[in-house]
Amino acid sequence: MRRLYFLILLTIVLPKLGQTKILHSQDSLFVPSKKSTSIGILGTTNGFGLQLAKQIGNKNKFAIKLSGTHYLYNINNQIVTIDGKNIYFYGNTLVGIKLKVNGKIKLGSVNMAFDYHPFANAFKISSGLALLFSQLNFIATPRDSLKQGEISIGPEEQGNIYYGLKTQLVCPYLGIGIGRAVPKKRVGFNFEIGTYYIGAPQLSFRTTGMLEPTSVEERKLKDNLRNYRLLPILTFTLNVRISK
Amino acid sequence: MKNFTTALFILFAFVIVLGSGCKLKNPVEGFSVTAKADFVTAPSTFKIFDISKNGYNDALEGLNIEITGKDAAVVYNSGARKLFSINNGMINLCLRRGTIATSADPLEFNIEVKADGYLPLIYPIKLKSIEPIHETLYLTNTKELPAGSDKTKGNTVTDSSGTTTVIKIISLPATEQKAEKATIEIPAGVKMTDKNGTLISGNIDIDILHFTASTGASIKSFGKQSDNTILDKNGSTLDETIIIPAGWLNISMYGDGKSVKDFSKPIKATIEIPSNQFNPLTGTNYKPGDLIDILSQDKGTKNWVSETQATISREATTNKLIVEFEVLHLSTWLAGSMKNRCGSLIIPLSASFTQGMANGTPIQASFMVKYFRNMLSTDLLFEIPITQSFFYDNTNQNIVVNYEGALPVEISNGQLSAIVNGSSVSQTFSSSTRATNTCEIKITLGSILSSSTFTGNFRARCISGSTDYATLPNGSTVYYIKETDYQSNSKPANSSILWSNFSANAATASVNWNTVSLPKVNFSTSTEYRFSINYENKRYDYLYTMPATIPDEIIVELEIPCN
Repeated sequence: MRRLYFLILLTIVLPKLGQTKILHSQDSLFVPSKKSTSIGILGTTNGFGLQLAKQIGNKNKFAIKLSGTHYLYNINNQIVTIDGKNIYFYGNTLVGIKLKVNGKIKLGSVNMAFDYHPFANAFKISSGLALLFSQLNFIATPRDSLKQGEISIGPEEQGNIYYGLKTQLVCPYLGIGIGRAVPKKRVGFNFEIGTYYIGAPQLSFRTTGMLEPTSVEERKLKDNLRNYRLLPILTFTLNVRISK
Repeated sequence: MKNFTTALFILFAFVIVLGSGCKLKNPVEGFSVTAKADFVTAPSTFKIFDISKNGYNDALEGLNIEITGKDAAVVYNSGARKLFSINNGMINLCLRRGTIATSADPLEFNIEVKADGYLPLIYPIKLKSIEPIHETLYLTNTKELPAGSDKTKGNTVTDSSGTTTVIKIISLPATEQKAEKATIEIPAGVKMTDKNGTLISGNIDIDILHFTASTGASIKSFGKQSDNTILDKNGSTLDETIIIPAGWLNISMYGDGKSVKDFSKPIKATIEIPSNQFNPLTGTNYKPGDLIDILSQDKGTKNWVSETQATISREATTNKLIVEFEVLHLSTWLAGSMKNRCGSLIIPLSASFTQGMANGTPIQASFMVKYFRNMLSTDLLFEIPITQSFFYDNTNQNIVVNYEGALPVEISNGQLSAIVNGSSVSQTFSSSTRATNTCEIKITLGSILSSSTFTGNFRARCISGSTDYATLPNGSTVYYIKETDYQSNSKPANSSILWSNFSANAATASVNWNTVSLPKVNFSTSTEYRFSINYENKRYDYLYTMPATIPDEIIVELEIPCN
């Protein structure tokens, strides 16, 4: 859960995509000459990947980027304590049930974005769209046996909690950063901070066996996620210019 | 510009964090886990019944009992503990959560009750599904034996080699309590040994309990038979077999602080057979020359072992039927008949009841299954009311009642009902022939008792024009619906399937009534109905409240404009 919490930090308002009118080739500001291309490797908080960028115009103010990232993180037998929460069991209130969590965090996206350098320096505003494949799925199982009278019910008999979270598929992106997608020199370094607008996260929550009554918590979990509409992302890119 | 860029960047980040980050909740804030407390399931109850007291004996309250058998491990009390006792005249048992029982792999365990002053009881349970059961355990009070049984004490002596030196005869004569007598005869020269084969010498005390099949109370002492508790002499289970006892002896001998188990040569037992005892294998009462099965049951076990067969004879002096058999070891010895167990009773349905009934038609049935002491007796042992839903099988034209046992049963006070073509049909029956050798009970159902009808009189009264009444054309469709259904379904058009309808008969010129016969079962008492007709392309409705008793005739008068 905490990983999710760190993953989904809310950041920013929607980008104004109307700015993309500057891409129109008939715009008199831009002359399609001396275009350069670069490839780069990405390290982002949404996975690792590659980027292909191309400079637009000859004033070093615009660039278009196509990138893809992917990362798979397995959660293996992580023990989570539901701190300070009540565990209702046979008329008794227990505190601090330990859940054993197994699952996967899949990060990934295909992005198309435009960089705009308003001051003709390294500072840039970046905007675009992404196909976001990031999702989180895990199964939580009680770690310990429950006992009533002379019957001990092992974790495997108690049931499971299934938790899944994903974003909408097409997500707008807005960010700012330092560095050029197509470096002036042979190699350049970029840093970017931005956010995807992911809409309301889509939660799937299911409980089985003796844990079935926990299904009433779905509404609470959904409410907790209600404001998680932005997915922030930090991006580090190492670009190599491959043509002039 | 550089400073400006840096400032803008910081501002951007600041807005991100403050502008929205502070609104976020921890995704698991307030999350708690709740677990169901169903550690045990299928709570079953077993009433304790003292046969002699014809009810519960408070002295048994709190008595601890044991659960034994191959699946005893999954049996718990309602508090999920292994402590079992009699509380409020009942034993409450549950099964551990997750326990599975099927026909192919049934769950088997025994309830063992050992109470001072009572014969020990081993009550077998066999569950083919995880459903609660509610049964009665009959305990035999040895200080106050039930009618149809008796007891006596005797003794004999063995010499230093553990051998009897004289013939000893111990009798339990016929009395008012028990109409049949029984005798055991210990010949001279019998060596008696305990279960370890150790010779027992000196004074031997003898206790004998004799149970006959002449009363229902005595038969209740026989206890419950499970379908796997009868073995042949080789120890193989005689499946689907049941014992119908004619009489049995519970014999105990003690000497030198030991219990006698085996004899070096058999002792002889003789028991009288009740004069009206029905032989389920011949379909008539027992008579001289009939073979009867001899079975034994070791103390502390639930299994009966088929030892041999004996021939019934008539005793010359008393003219009573008797059976003599050899007792090879000490235990309970029984004379009776083994027969195949019925797993169900099949009740054929008469054609008159099933006429027009589609395959799969639900049939409601309620009746009483009565268990009798024997075929000819009116001594009712058990009576079980059954209310079940069946589905009509038009191939076999019968219903099947699941029941276990082979005691003579009959079905009585029965009623079958079904809805056929929209009308209720029902049949009642008073009794069946007794089930004996077959598992089929014949019931004479009689003819269909169609539900009674009432006459609906309909006419259209003119609220304008020169005539008082308008005659509805013959075959006019009259629609009706419960007013509550009409309102709760957003006032559906009378062409909707929510409405019922019928065709009105032609009105006679003299009274202007359209009449129709309607089944009473289609209407509820004290309920408002909306009747409707379409007349000259307009719809006219009429509200009618059915009285507390559905009358034999109702009048529905619709108001229409006439020319």
